[in-house]
This record gives sequence, structure tokens and C-alpha cells, in this order.
Amino acid sequence: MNKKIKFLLNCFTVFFIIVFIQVDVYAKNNYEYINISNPFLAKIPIAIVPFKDITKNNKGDVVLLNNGVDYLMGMLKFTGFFNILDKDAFLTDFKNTGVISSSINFRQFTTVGAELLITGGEKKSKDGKLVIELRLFDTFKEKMLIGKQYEGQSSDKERIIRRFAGDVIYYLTGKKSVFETKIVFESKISGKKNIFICDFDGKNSRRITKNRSINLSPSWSSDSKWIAYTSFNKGKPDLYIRNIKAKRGSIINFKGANISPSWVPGKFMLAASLSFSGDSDIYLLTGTGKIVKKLTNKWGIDVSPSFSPDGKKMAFVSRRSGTPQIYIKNIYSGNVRRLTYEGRYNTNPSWSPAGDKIAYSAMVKNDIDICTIDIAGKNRLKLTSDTADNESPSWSPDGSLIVFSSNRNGHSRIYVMTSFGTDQRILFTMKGEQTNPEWSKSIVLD
Amino acid sequence: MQEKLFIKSLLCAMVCGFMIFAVSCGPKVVKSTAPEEVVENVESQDIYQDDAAEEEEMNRQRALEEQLLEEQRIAEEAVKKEALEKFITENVYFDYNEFFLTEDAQERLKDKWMWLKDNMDISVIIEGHCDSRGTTEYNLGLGEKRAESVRTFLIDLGIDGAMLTKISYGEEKPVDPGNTPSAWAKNRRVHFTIE
Repeated sequence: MNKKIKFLLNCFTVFFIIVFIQVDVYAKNNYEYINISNPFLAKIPIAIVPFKDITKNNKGDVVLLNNGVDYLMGMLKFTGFFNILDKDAFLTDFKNTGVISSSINFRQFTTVGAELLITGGEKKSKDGKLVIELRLFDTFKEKMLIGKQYEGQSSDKERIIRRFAGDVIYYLTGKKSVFETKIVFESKISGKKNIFICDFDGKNSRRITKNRSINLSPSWSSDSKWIAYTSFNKGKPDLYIRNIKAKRGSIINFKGANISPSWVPGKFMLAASLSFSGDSDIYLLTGTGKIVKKLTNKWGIDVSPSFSPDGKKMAFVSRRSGTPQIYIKNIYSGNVRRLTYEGRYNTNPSWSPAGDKIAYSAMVKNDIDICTIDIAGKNRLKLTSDTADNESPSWSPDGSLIVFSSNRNGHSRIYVMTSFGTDQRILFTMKGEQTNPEWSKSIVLD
Repeated sequence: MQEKLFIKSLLCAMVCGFMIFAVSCGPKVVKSTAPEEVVENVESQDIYQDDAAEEEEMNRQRALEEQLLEEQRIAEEAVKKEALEKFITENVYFDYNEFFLTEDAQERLKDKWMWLKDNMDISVIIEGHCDSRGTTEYNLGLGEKRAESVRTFLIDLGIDGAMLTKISYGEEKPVDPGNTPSAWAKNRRVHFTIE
């Protein structure tokens, strides 16, 4: 209890944020800077000046040794939107670049191609708190786009910088950043498979299931408070619904297999494949495991549901035509249509947050690749190639990135790329084999 | 395989032979002593001696018979054990991304059926497995279908469905963790376990 109160107090006192200049944020924002649905998006060149000590004046004469620039750069780079300029390119005389407009020679940055500039300053308040000022400038217009001052404990530095980075992304793209989101995945070591959660950038992974059995295919609820997964902990595949903060939840253990859960957006409801009738079909269930209705009714394999953002349609995998293909069901009319025709093995559908595309795994020749396709079934785009097996795509909540698993370097690991297939990179390395990542659909508080 | 069968039948024939020998020997002894029982008891000593000999012979025969029976029992146990082992270790294999039963699979399942109908008191778990190709969730579905194909086949041959439970492990429990066609072929299987 004490802990809880302390936590709440922290939340209130730590983030005493003074937005001292609110240029453009609410007034007009047409996101002319970054349109994330543009596949030919050029990276915006951005310069970030090392944070300065502003105890004496706002110009900031002294460069801080332990400043958060690398942390900020790491986050911005992760998005794939920026080309972060090398410090050496513009910092011939960086001591003369202050943190406020009047102390910045913008031409120094425009000549090296920087279109955006971030400055930061730090000082201690009278009562010993940490005060950080962060600003985003348009170098060509010589204009401040965002200016914020934050006050908190010195241990809050990373959180403050993360919040500012989120503001920068929101200002430039009109979408919430991924910096407060998390990724759930499974990891297998010597035959035992467990569920883990890590930050958006692969850091701070922690184990969620703690048994010596097989736990797999985790799925986030849309409010990111619950995960559902399948576990063999009691001998057969059952569904576990679990609140990630509190120790509560339920087990769905009908006769036969209870697998492949996927939450309905905005509801405490999920779809899953159950085989108690003797044949595997997808059912709509409440979060406590009561069957609401049967969603598929064909003999064969029906698995891997994924809902459209409005919850009105469901993509899923079915073998009704003889090979595994992706189908879309209209939940209200009951109509089902086949989405994928190319190839003999298309699985793992993941509906994009914008609702216009579906990412999936396709077997192409002898490899498995990640593809995206319009919901009309057109414009199939292969995002990975010649890199062994790439599976289980899942969109970041802003739709700009896709997380997936790949065994391109032998072991299966978690990778991230932009939703157009660029900037493919490994997210982290850990022992064992990591598979089935799913990006949270919103901010995760834990 | 055929050699094994030959040895087994030879063993059976030998056991049977011994038994016939033992049974046919038994009464002969009794017959030969029977007339002497009616003779006066003058030579009681001899009679007693004969009785003792007879008793001894009977005991010897009984021991022999018990030994033979024991041997037979052990031989039968061995056959049973071997059959059980074969039932458990011999998997039924599937084609890539398929759950229909190939001719070979059906032949193997007939052996399973033979064993099952002699062991109706046992509960069997039919495990469906897949190779590592393809996706986790779909493979869980595919493993389930493989187990279902096998279960249905056995029920159609007359096995009580209550004896047969199915479970899918998808691609989670490979027998060969390799990433080669031969490893994949080994992993696309239905495996039997006894509950």
C-alpha cells in the first residue's frame, strides 16, 4: 500500500511540467514534416547538440559530461524517420551554440544539411530538483517548434527525455510515439518455452511465465493491461488470460486444444481457436472464457485471428481451400472472403493500425517472408527476401514499424523494420530462440 | 523383422514341445507304480521306498513344469514388452503440411490396432507433431488434425474412442532439432504414449 501511495506521489511531483512556449502544437499541425504512410519517405536530417549546463544563463556555456543526448539519439534513430547528423559535422564551434534561439547560429546547421535541431539544458532548482529544458527547432525557418521545461528527481532524467522524444514524434507525425510501448514474445531454451516482455527497443526484458512447460503465442489486449497465451502447463494446450500488473486472470480449458488468442479492439473479449467439438474453429470469448459465439464453421484448420482496428472484421488462417490461406470475415454480415491467392502457404495475419493493410508470413520458394497486402487483396509487397525464415509480423501502434522473428543468422531472433521493409535490424540478443513477437497496441504502464 | 518372427515362433514351438513331453511323461510314472500298490505290505520298506521315489519324481516333475511355465511366462512377458515398446517407439509419419494417412502410415496403424485390441484396458495418448517449417499456431492446428486422423482410423477399425485421447504439440517437441529435410521428415509424426 505504502509503495502504491509513494508511486502515485512520484507521478504527481516528478512530472511538474511547465510548457513555457507552445508554438504550433495545438494551433496548426498539418504534419508536413513526416508522413508515415509515404513509402518513399526521405529521412529528415536532424542535429542534436550536447546538453548544456544552464545554471548561470540560458546560453549554456558548459557542456554536460553525463548528458542524455545518446539516449535521445537512440530513440529518434529507432523510428527510422531521421538521419541523425554526426556531431563532428556541425560542432566545429559547438560551445557557442546555446539552447535558445538567440544563442544559435542556424546557418551553421543549415549548411551541413540539418533541417531540424534539438538543444537541451540542465540545472538544479533551488530545492535541489533537476530542471531540464528541451527544444526542437526548424533550422531553415529559424523557428522553435517545441519548447518544454521539465522538473523532477535526477533519477527521472531518462523518463523526461523519453517524454520529450515522444512530443517530437507527435509534433512531426501526428501519431503517438512507440517509446512507451512494449513487445511480448516467446523464448525457448532446452525445450522449455516461456513468455517475456521487453521495451519497444528490446531493453529491460522480463519473464512473465515461470513454469517448466511450453508457453506460446502471446497476445496483448488493446488497453495493454492483459495478455492471453497458450500454455501446456497442465498437460494440454489451454488459454491463460492474465493481467500483467495484478496477479489475476483466468484459464480457458475446454476439451482439446485452446490456442491462438487475439483480442477484440476496445473490448475485454478475444477470439481463439478451440477444438472441443472435434474440429478446430474460431470462437468469440469473453475475457473470463465464456463463449459468445462461433466465428468460423468449416471443417479443417481455422487459426490465428486478427481484428481490424474497428473490430468489425477479422482476418484468420484457414485450410478450407486445401492450403493455409488468409481470409477475412465480416463479423456482422458473416461474409467470408479469401484475401491471399499467391503461394501455397500464407499465415500469421496482423491487421495494420490504420486498417488498410494486413501483414503476414508467406512461404516463397523455400523461405518464409513477411508480406503486406491491401485489405482488397491488391498490392502485395514482400518486405523481406533471401534471409531464411521471417515470421509473425506485428505492427507498432503508430503503424510505422513491424516487429517479426527471423532465423537469418541461425538462431531465431526478434527483428524490427519499417512498415516498408527498410531499416531491418535485430532488436536484442538473448539465450535460446525467440519467436512470435507482438507489439502492444498502446502505452504499457507497469 | 522376419528373422525376429522366426525366432519367436521357434521359441514358442520349443516351449510347447516341452509341455507335451512333460504331460506325456507324468502319467507313465503313475501307471508303473499302480500295480505295486495292491501287493501285500510284506516288503513295506520297499513300498515306502518306492513311494518316496515316486514322491520325489513327482516333485521333480512339478519343479520342471513350474520352471517351464516360468520360462514360458518370461518369454510371453518379453514378447508383450517388445510389443509395447514397438507400439510406443514406432511413429506414424506424414507428408509435408498434410494430415491424410499415407499407405505406409495405414500399415503401421494396423499394427497399432492389433496391439490395442489385445490391450483394451489401456488409455492411449495420440500426440500430433509437426516440423519446424511454418508457423507456430498453424502447426498446432496441423498437429491436432494429424492426431485426429489417427484417432479416427483406429475408431473405424473398432477401437473404443474412450481409450484414445489426442493432443497437439505443433512444432514444439521435435525428435530431431536439425533444419534439414531428413530432420523435418522425422518430426512430422504421430507419437503414441500410454497414460
